[in-house]
Amino acid sequence: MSKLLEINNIEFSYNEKKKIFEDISFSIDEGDILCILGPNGAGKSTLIKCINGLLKLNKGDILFKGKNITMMDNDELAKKMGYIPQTHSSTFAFRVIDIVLLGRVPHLGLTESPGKKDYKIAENAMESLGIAHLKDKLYNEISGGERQLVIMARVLTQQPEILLLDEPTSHLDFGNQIRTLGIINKLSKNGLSVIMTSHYPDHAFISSNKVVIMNNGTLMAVGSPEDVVTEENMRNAYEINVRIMDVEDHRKTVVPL
Amino acid sequence: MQRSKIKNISVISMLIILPVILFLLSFLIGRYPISPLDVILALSSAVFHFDTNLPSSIYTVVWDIRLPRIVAAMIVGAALSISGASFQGIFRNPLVSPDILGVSAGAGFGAALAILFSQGSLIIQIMAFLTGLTAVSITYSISKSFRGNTTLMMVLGGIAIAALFTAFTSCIKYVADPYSKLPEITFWLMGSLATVNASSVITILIPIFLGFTILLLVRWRINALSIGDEEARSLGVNTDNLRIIVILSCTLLTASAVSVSGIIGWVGLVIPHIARIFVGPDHKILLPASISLGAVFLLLVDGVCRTAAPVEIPLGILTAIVGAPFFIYLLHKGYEGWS
Repeated sequence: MSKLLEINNIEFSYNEKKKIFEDISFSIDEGDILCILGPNGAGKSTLIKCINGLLKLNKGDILFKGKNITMMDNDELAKKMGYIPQTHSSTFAFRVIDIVLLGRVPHLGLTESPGKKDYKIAENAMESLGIAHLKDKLYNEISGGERQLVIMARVLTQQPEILLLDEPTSHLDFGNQIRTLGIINKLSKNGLSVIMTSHYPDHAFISSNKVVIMNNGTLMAVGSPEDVVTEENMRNAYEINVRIMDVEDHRKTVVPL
Repeated sequence: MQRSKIKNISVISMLIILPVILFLLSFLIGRYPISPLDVILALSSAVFHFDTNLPSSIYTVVWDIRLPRIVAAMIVGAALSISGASFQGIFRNPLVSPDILGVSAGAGFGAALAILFSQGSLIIQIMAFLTGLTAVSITYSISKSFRGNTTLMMVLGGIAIAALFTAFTSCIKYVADPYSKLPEITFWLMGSLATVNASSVITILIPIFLGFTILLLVRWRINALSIGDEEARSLGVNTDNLRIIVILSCTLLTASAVSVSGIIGWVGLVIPHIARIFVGPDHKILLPASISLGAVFLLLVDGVCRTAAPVEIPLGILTAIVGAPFFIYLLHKGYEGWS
């Protein structure tokens, strides 16, 4: 049986001079949470965009259940993968529900607009994230943490099989970061697979079962968090000294020295 | 919740009823006085084929003079407004107006050229329409020749092409006969509905119908484009296709409008904002609302043009004189705007 998502020897560059990354290969199965770590400029966000088909690869291929994603239309791909970019804003003062409903785009034809069923799906997604009360608020006037949840509701409304999250915790306070990871864990228990980038190695321990470390445009390590997030790898990737320690219930944590 | 629903219903019924009422009232405006009853009789008797003893001059005024002008004002206002609203959405910029890609400057050049060669009004109209389309095609192909941010390149390219065509128009004005051709060109460029007749309105009906229909069909998807290209693509939108569909429709509408009325600024920029104040930014409601408000606005302003002074005032001048203060007033009243 083929993997849910297979990434084979991919390479990408914006121009001929400098490759953003090369020789990247890994795969995920259903329900996996893969965390991509690496220093600034390692190519994490670019990798996420390539997986979502937003950028064209120079080499290699990305297979969804054995099918090359370059063979899929935008809307077909959007039914398989939902993407949350690092930053999102809206020029116009949309209501929250209008933003969430955009998740229905891949399920509706060019000339269709959302009907009762689509509203129901959007409202259910908001309910599951506890933000049903924000429905008629203006998207530009809610807090950063609420906005993150709104975009999360939109991506759930899209009903994809894989979530691609580019630093889902980057603009959130400490509590909201951990709550977001909790949501990600819950979603994966319901069968969704997740690929996310993060700046915090701890997040790999908290919510992922697979880790990729990128550095200088290459893959430094792939494996389970316990095998990959090591003192040596952290030193090589981030050029700092850390200690990996055990906390209660056998979870590990990374402590900078 | 309940109150906002009632408010929505009353806003929407206002947007439907207001154009109809103003359409009928506009028949009463003009130098030749006609009673409301005569207007109703003249309109309905021709439709339902019954005889009246109205003088034929009333039929002429109602059917040949006022009806084409009223219809033209409504079509032009609606076309410019829906194009402005769509362009502001797909370019994610509230400062964009429908002539941002050079359509008006191109049309102005075509009209000036036709006037220079002493052509009739139909040729002027067709020339304006075609050069308007040409200018936008040039802008579009320029933006396609760049890699990267095509939206920005399109807007910048449009500014350059507009400047170029405006310069061409100035060349024509420079060589035009200052006693006959130059005033005609200048008057055309100021925008007016004074010379509109039934055939000039009929000429643009097909492109206008196409433009309205296509925009209204894809209007909900413009929401996705308006939050950003990358996000729109990740949501499954074929952004290049959708953008070309919208640009083509808006260009058809604007070129048609400009070809009958000359250049009328301000409407396409401001009406979408006024519509947003009433119905919010969701393009599903915004585009129909822009149609209604654009038609109403231009009908009102044209009514003033026809009656305020002994000599008719060019429409393009008055849209700004009436529109600008009204717009500032509305902004003061409160705008849940953009960030």
